[in-house]
Amino acid sequence: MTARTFKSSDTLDFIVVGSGAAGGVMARELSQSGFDVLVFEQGPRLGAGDFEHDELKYSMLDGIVNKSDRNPQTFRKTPADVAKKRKALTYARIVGGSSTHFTANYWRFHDVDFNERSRLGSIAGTGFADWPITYAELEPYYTKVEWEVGVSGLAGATPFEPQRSKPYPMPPMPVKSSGVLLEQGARKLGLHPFPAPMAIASQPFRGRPGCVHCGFCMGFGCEVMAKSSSLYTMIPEAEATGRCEIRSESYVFHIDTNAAGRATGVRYYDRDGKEQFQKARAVVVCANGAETPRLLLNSSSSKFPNGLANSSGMVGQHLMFNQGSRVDAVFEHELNEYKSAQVTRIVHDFYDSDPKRGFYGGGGIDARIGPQPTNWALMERPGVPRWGEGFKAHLETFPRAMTASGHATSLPVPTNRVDIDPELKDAWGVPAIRTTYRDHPDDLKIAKFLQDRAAEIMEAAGAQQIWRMPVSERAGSVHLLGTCRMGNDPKTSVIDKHHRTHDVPNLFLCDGSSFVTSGRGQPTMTIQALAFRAADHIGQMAKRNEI
Amino acid sequence: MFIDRALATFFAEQSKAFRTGLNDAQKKFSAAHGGKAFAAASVEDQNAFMHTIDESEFFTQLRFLTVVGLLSSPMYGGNYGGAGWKVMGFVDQHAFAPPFGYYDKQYTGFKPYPKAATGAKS
Repeated sequence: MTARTFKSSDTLDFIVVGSGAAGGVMARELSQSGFDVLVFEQGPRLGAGDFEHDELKYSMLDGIVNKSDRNPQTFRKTPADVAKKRKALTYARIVGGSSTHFTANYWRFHDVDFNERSRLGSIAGTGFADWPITYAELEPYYTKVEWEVGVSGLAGATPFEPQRSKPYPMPPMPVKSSGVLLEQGARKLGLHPFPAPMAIASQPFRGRPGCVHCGFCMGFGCEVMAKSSSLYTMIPEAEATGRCEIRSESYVFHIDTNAAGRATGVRYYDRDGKEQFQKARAVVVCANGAETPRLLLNSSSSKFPNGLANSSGMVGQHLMFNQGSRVDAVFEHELNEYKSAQVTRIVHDFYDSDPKRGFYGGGGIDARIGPQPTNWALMERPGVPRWGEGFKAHLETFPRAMTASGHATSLPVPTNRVDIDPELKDAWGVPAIRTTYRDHPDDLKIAKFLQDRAAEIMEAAGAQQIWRMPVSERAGSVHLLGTCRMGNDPKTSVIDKHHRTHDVPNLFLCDGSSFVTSGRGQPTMTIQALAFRAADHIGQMAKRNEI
Repeated sequence: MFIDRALATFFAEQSKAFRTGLNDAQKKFSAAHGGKAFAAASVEDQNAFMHTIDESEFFTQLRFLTVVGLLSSPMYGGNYGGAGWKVMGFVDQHAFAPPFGYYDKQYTGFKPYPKAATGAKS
């Protein structure tokens, strides 16, 4: 590896804050275009050999995610409430970011995700808006994600598929029993289930091995490098240019600006907790939909009293989680869902919003693991004894069980937001995130709608038992979307269509915060397509001296 | 063993509530059973008593710790020899090959839809 190490006296072409799904793409694209790039990552660098099949560590002890003690947050439902200490927003705090522990569902958005406001009209009490870009503009970059990051799937399998310029580079993952049952049930009902596109190598791909079907994807780091995480794909390729350094355990807490209103560099705490400063010609923040607005709000100055790039007041606003629902089902024979990729079949027949339903929203249904044993057993299913012989008998159904999940829209509600808690600080003394969130009533309605459809599919597939898990208001998420939205009007958006902030010419933002609408629950594919597109434009602008 | 270890280490912040809850539950049991300890009572008496407390916060905590102990990696001190995993039919293995279960073994392949067979729509 020829990874570069920059000196603290160096002025970088680009500083990228965050090494996840977007940061990895940004680092690779800009360094391959000839720029010197320094990527800051809050968390440590781990490799495939460091990850384990350990549910206790990864899901109960914050193994690789932001920790409740060192990275505390507060949460409240409405602006009228006092926020209480509670980790609402979760992300992986390691090199590769949440692309390291994601489930790897890689649906493209559809045309309608970008122009739904024009198609359906406004929705009272929301900031429902069109994106300033179309699906067609993003299509080449979706294809780039599939071929360069690595997505397995079957092109043309769904009649609802948006236009694509190329097939997938790898065949879909082998179908699991949950996928077969979803497919059989859905086909009986006249629906169109199809192989799930997954960011997992179904066969050896670009120097990485194919999946070995160990089953520990969702919430875990891949132990064989088959999952197409930034850690295994974009980051090594960025480092191989000799123009990119990934500086791990280096926590950026402030973006500095000069009298001209331009970003000059970032202040960060190094791995010894010492404050450092690094200069750059431009800064790209890819820190996720929680940390990006937090960094901007914590970077206020006399010139930017309400936070950096926040003349619109939109920084942190319109947080969207993606509502969802689950149906658990037990069948006669063994499925063994604990093996292999979490999802192999999906249904997109209910993707579009339909005014006939009487509410806004749409989504997808997938067949998936329910999850691994500890978390599966802890989940309380309506009517199932919580202890004793009845509980033990329920545990024994684990190999015959599956989940049909609904993945839905969330509306952009102005009061749903990330801001800075007035009192709480983290272990470094940096003001902490406060989240305010309450689902729009339509978000709950579409989640329940998808649950009913999923239950019908499970019934048609011959389930012996079906549980509708309660749909409730979300008090947290791993999908952190919409908090620095993209738009043409500087009064109502934070970044322009090329991800440049309206207020600071050499400051760019690209991650889930850029979203204008929520999509239908699988945001990372679109985050990476946006990152490829943004890097393309940012690189061209830099070469033309327009930054 | 798992619970003691967990409460002394990674779940230390739950320790106080758990010890208090356990103590209260034991007192409540002996008071109702002429001073007899819960552990020394019959399964019938134990079960009957559990029904009286299984909505409490203490029970929720006890259930959480028991389930986590039963199913976490044996290196944490519970799930002896993978006994919990055996109950659930979970196999702790690092690689598998298809077919994974009964239904995918019978699967005959994905049949395309007529509309999609001609290629992507715009």
